[in-house]
Amino acid sequence: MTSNASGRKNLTFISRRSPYGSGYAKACLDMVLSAAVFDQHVTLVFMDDGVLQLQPNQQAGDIHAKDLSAALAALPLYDVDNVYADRDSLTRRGMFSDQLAIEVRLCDADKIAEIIRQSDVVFTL
Amino acid sequence: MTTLHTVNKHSLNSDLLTSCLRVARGGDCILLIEDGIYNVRTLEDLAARQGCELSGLQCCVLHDDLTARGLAEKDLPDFISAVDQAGFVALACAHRQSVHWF
Amino acid sequence: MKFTIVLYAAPYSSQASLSALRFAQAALAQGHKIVRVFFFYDGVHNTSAFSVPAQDEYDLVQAWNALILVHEIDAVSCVSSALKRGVLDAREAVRYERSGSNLLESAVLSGLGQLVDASLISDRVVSFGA
Repeated sequence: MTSNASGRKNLTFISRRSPYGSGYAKACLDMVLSAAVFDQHVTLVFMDDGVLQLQPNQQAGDIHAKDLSAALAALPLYDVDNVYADRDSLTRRGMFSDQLAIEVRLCDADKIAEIIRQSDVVFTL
Repeated sequence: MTTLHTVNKHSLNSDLLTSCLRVARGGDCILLIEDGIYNVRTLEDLAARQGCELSGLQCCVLHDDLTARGLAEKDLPDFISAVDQAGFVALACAHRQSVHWF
Repeated sequence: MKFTIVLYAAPYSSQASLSALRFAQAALAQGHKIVRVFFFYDGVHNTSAFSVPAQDEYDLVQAWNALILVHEIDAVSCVSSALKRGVLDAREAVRYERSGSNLLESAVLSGLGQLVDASLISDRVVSFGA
């Protein structure tokens, strides 16, 4: 179901880039927070290299960057609760779901396909 | 509620097409644009290796991006068709969401 | 249908800007409406009027400018992306004491909220990136 009765839309963000090598991951988070401020139904999915944003113990100060995982920790404050990480992407990168920087729900490709189909708009970044 | 997936890079140097195929479902369309065009030769093998059933998907290329790269419609496998710019717009209208893999 | 077009990529560095422009032209030719073009991330470079391509090259920035003006499209360059990449309007140039401003006449600087807003009022959002 899309566009629920309150006029809110389902906006989905598939974050699929690593955190510091490019600005895309930060840009995606900025979009997510903007959508949340607009009180939309926001879903965030970490997929492909995007799961690398979930690596714990990031210390980005020495490369003059803000710690992205610390920023991700603010998601619940914006009521962004639908946060998923693709299990396959984690596995392929040697990451363990019980050792991530923030709490996420694990999902598989079928779940991501379902999320896309239930969305009004999908942004991949 | 089907989806238009646009892919703009070649699968040998990006995971875009792999990821797209993982989440594309029956009725969806995959439109290869820009350097995604080069996937025409490998799409079938890649899909087979992933266990992805292409028969339920519509596969297209953007005509001008195809010919720009020295390929022609006659070089396309049977399951891939070419669309022009107007066709691209029509696909975007026909599908509820558009997902750009870039 | 009402479209929003999002462009994440700079002109000339990739084909994406041209792809987005051609999509917009085709959509308008079919009678669709473009609610907003949102230039985000490196896409803000498409709104730098200081772009000077070689004489034998297609002038992408002016092509965007013409399309936006002729069809009276709302064109927004993301302000946070634009400022740090050196795309400023006259007001920001004064505020930050820079020697000149270069934002394309047909575009305005505004926040990401304009992209969210566009998503809410459009039937389709189509993105182009590099």
